[in-house]
Amino acid sequence: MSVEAGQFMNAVEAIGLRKVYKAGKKTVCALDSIDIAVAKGRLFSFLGRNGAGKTTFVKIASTLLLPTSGSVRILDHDVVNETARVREDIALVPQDVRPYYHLTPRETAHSYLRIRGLAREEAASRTQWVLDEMGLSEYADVPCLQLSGGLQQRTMVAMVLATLAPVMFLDEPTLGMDPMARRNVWKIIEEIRSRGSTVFLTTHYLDEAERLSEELAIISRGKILFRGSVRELKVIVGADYRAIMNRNVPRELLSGFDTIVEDGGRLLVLTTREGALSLADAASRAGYEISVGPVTLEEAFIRLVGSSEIDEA
Amino acid sequence: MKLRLQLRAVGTFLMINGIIALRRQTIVLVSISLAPFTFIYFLYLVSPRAELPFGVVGAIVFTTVFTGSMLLNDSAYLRLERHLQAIYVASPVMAVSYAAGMALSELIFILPPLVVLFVVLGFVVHITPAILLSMLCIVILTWIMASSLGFMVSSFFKQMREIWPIASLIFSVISIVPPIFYPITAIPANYRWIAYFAPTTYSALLGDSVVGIVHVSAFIQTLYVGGLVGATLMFIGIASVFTRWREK
Ligand SMILES: Nc1ncnc2c1ncn2[C@@H]1O[C@H](COP(=O)(O)OP(=O)(O)OP(=O)(O)O)[C@@H](O)[C@H]1O
Ligand SMILES: [Mg+2]
Repeated sequence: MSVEAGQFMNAVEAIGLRKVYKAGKKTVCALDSIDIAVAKGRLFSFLGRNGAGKTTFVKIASTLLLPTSGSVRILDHDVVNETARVREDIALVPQDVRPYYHLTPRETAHSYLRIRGLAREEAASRTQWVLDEMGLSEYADVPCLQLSGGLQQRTMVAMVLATLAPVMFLDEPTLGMDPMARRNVWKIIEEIRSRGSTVFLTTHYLDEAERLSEELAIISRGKILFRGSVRELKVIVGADYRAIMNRNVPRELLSGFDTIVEDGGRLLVLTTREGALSLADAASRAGYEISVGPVTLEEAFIRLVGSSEIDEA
Repeated sequence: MKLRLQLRAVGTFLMINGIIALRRQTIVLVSISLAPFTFIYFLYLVSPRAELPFGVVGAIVFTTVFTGSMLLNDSAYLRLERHLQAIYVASPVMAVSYAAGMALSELIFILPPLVVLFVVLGFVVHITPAILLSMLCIVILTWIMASSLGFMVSSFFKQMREIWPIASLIFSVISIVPPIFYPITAIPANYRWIAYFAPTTYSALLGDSVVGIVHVSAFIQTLYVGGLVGATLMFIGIASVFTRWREK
């Protein structure tokens, strides 16, 4: 097998990226010396709480916004100095995007593919493919104005994914979609990745990130808290199992467990497999409800981001 | 080829924002035509018949300038409310292709009332092919000027709420205040110089002299041509420097 030139190049590479917004007299540091590298062909998830800086990063990397300092390179081209070159390689689903209301999903996707340089027949067949994959065939010729919010969102995702651009930025692409529709998106994402595209994803659905990403970064208040795989995150959090219990369980039941997190009115006990099983045993003997399982990305996230915010405070 | 891609983008924006939109919301035509025809009607009621040609030429200029106002609103709406412009920015489409396609799509909307106005013009003055051609040139230059202004101003807004008052102020100043619906001599001589600052004044003056309702020397007419061409080039220049395609 021959080694393709540039095979090991990063698709997205940010070095020392900073963004300071000026709003009147106030300034907001949305990104504070961010370093990120996403290898070509990978799916990378960028996670963080509301206002953490995800969209700001996506906007800079997709040539929508100028950085204050630092650099981002897409497939080895600088987003500021080689903007036109970068734009040939990228496609973006912006956060909160909505379609042209008088166009149908088919017209929406087809016109965008034409704009991106596809021949008419190629654009038509790819449009049909993406509409089928996204479960939009039934609505293909209905004006978007008559579609529900989730169907409109599907239309936008279909329009952009159909480009098969080498580097895709998806800023909360599955927001407002039903569980089946989200799975359709996952399937297409896997498909376009198998064709060689790199996907940069932001999402608040951590099951989605866990399912799709090989690598992720967690950002909090403009700073990277964690970078690595889901497994590595769980190692850092120091637990691979968790038990969920009601908040009013007696404290003596929990003695010997150090990592107990408030999780929306319940208690999350992070521990080892053995620890979780023995706790389950004790709890059920004492007549308390308990649910035990492997730690999810969401729980690890709550633990990591939650404790970093306590440290700061 | 790169140029082909950009031309195709222009054609596609013309299609989706103009032709398809017009087909699906034909009612817009009525609203667009209302203002100029109302002006002509009132002019017809209140002034001597001799003033009517000024009204028709004015209505042609007014309708053309209106494309700038529509472009301002449409592009702000697509950028701020739909977040759609971001998809085109993060793609090989150039700002000028987007602006040109959108501007052409607005032209589609004024085409029907414009045709009617030209027919009316044919009734009130004698039109030769040369006059028709000159009038079309005036329309095209005015459209380019208004579109450049509209697209640039649109790119400055950060939210939809700011748009309506400012957009209507700008376009009222350049489409109603200048001597578009009446001869420039109707403005008191002391204040007439102000009118020469409005770019649309040249469209109207040139239009009036081309159709022969105002008689000026060849030299003055050349000045009007220079004024219109100069204003158009100036607006293109300003727009290409100041339009925000990427946020700061
Ligand atoms: N145009 C702007 N002007 C001023 N401040 C801004 C602007 N855009 C974003 N910010 C601020 O920058 C920070 C990061 O915002 P950003 O939109 O990147 O967050 P996010 O991680 O995408 O959040 P969410 O999950 O809610 O989408 C926030 O504090 C936000 O208030
Ligand atoms: Mg965001």
